[in-house]
Amino acid sequence: MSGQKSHEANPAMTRAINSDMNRFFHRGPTILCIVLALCSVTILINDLWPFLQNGAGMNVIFHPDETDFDQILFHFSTLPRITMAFICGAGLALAGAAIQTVLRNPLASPTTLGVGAGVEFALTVFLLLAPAALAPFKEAAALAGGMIALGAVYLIASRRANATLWLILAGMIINLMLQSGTQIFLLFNEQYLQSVFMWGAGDLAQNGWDSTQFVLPRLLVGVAVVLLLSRPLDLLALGDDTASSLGARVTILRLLILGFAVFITASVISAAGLIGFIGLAVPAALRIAGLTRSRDLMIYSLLTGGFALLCIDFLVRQMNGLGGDIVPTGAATALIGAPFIILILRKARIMPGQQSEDHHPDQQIVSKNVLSLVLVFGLVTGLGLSLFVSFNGHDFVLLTGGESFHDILLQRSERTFAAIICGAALAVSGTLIQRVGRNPLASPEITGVSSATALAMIIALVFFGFGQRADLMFVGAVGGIISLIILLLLCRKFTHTPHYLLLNGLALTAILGAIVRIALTRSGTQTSMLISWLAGTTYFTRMDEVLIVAGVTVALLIVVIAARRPLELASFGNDQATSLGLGISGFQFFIMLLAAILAASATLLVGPLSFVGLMAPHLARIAGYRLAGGHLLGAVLIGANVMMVAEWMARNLLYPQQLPTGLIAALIGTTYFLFLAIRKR
Amino acid sequence: MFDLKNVSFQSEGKNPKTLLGDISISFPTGEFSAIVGHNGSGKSTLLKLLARKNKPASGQITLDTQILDSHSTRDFARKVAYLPQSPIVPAHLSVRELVAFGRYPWRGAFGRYRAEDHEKIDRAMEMTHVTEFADRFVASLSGGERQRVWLAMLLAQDAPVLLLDEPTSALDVGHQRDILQLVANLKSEIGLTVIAVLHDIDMVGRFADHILALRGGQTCWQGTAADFMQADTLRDIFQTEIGVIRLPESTHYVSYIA
Repeated sequence: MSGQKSHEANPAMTRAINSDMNRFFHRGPTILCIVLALCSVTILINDLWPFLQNGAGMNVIFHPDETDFDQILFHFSTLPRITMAFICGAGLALAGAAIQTVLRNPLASPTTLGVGAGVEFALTVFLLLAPAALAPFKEAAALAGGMIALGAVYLIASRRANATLWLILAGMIINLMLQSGTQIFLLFNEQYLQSVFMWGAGDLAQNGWDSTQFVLPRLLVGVAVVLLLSRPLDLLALGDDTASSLGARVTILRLLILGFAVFITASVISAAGLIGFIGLAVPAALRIAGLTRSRDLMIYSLLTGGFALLCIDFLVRQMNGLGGDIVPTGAATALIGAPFIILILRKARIMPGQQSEDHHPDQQIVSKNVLSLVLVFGLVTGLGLSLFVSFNGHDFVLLTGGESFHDILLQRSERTFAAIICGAALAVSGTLIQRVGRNPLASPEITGVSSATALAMIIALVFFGFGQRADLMFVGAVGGIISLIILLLLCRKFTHTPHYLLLNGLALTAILGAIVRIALTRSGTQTSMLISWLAGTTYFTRMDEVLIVAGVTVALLIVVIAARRPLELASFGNDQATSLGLGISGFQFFIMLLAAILAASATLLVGPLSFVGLMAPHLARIAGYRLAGGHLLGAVLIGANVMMVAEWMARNLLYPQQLPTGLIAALIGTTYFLFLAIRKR
Repeated sequence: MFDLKNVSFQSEGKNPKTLLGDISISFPTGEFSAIVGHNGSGKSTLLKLLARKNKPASGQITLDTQILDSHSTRDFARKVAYLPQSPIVPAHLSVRELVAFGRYPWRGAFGRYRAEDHEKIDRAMEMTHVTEFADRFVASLSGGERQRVWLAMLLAQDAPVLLLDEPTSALDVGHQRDILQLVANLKSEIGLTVIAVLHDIDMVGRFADHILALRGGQTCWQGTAADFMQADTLRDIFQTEIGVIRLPESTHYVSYIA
């Protein structure tokens, strides 16, 4: 173990993590690593103990007695599992350390930047669709999936004034999109659900040494390359300009290191599924504990990550007992790791960024009445078309009379109205959060309110057996509001930086992801309904529910439009708003509460994944709706239109199969953001 | 106007650092007070205490003999207008819309703007020479133009006290003089009390009535502009070799680096 301790300040990182670095904490990394190593040794001895007692300790490791069930179990299941846990943890932590250093972002990691989701998506698609002959290319597909996801995230975030935060938010968007994509593929291949989900949840259970033999050589290659490149990495931390003037080839170096970090991640995920948070938490914790040099950070990450996952996996094994796996390790890691993000957030001060330097072009102030009329017209005609025209795979069919005319019309209008109302509710919610949070990438989906609503409903459904939709809705609404209150409490100290709200939302979303995975591995018959709801189907909605949500949306919309002046003032920042006489904390709380109620109601109807809450306010702002009142109305119109189109497509695109509306909306939304990112270059 | 009694301020965190220690001072009503000092001497911190952006660790601050904390947010906004060093610029607002928010303390969230409000807004824009930008976006203006827009908003706020944190940092010499002259005029015309953090020694000597110098979080000197523009005083405050010369045919002094 390298005992080097660096006293050299690493400017970019110290700026990013402004932790108190007194001497005691400098010993932190070593102590942390040794404690985890001791725990790991204890675990190994604990597992070996029965064999050590009868002197078969060496045998059972190398040549098990094939007549003894316990020895076979240990040699072919327990021991490879321990080894895999160490290898996977080490690999992911190293990949995380490398990505964090290269991108100069203390919150970057394989999972937060969408690499994990990309690999998972690519593998799922590959497993379900590719012919057996293509099997040798599985790894290439996984690697490509991870790289493309990371590339997309980087593309969105690069050249922004506040790249640190944008990177994380872009990662969340890509993550959500890819996860919903994965789910949609599974939805059409229900027979594989259980096993793919088990794998997707990060299952470390082993029945031999195959996985180890698969991952270990790849990990060694990756580790060797990344460690070789670690010295130029320190240069990267100084910033691109400095690094290139010191002779480092910034772009190539960055791509190489990121490539191998993704390679390690892809190998681990191919073998063991998605294991989140090790890659984020371990390097971040080590850095907070005082490691600044990238080589030290990586070596420590490698060891600490390995030992940490081994220990977590041991806990999981104890919980599961002999009756097979109930909680997959990856999901458990996320559960343990997500709260850790909050801890990191408290330590790491992510700079809210200098005020953006972009020079705004001197636009004309133009009235948006024409655009609004066009949008209203679009909504009305679209509604007519949506109700009366469908597509049966070859031709467009006009609904005219007939026996079932009323039934079909009723059914279609239920779903169309549900979509429109949800679009409107999410648009209002998103506008409020973006304005009060002063962040154009904030949305109910991203602050975790939608996730928490879904989470509450899933827990109620799967673990407590609530069956009635009415009950579920109530539980969901309560969940959404509680999550918001928790978020606000967590963020109370950070009143000057609303960004923390979003980053805490990230933790919440991750917890949801973990619990959903756990729930899906054990829910059996309800799985398929759960997944389609999570992907945002309007299939289960009823008219009375739609009417209630519509009432709530309209009432709250009127309230916030009346309060448009303080809403505008909130965009001045807290200090300025207070100086002008607005009690900003109370006002923010009130607005966020309304946003949560709206988001929760919409989530009840179409699930948590639609991107309308993110996209509609963004589009409205770009279209030129500047002031709060107009912004709200514009967003509502755009949101309603987008959801209406998405709903029609969901019903008709793959007729007679029904796609989830939320997913279509999400695809529209993410495509839009990618387009936006590319156009900005 | 503002009276501070044994006020100190500490940074947050596990090892709080005392940024201001035991400051007792009265800022005179109807005068232009300047706070000067070297970088990190606590100038902005002190101004933030007055603006209620920071809470004192100990001691008491009163405004018109009333304890600072006892004001409601809106009352305080009607009495004290504060311009931070680098205010957040809302990207989507026009100059006129931004200046109009100066009337918020008086009209609140729902009150209609009356003719007098619009008059005040127009007058504030005229005084700061920003009328020509009225329909441009604030974000599209240069740094100096923005500073004048912010000042217009503060004037529209119609508060008897202005707290300005380096209001001229982004201005060229001509506009520095214009703005400080404007502030000085307002002071004498409508009896505003102005407290500003300023850097430029000569501007301080030219426009300020009362000067408070800080060094390392402690009061190190206070007095009038005439006493301030003395080589010994300046050397003591800034710990740098500074000299002054008297301008011919004038009572003004200018400083130079020795």
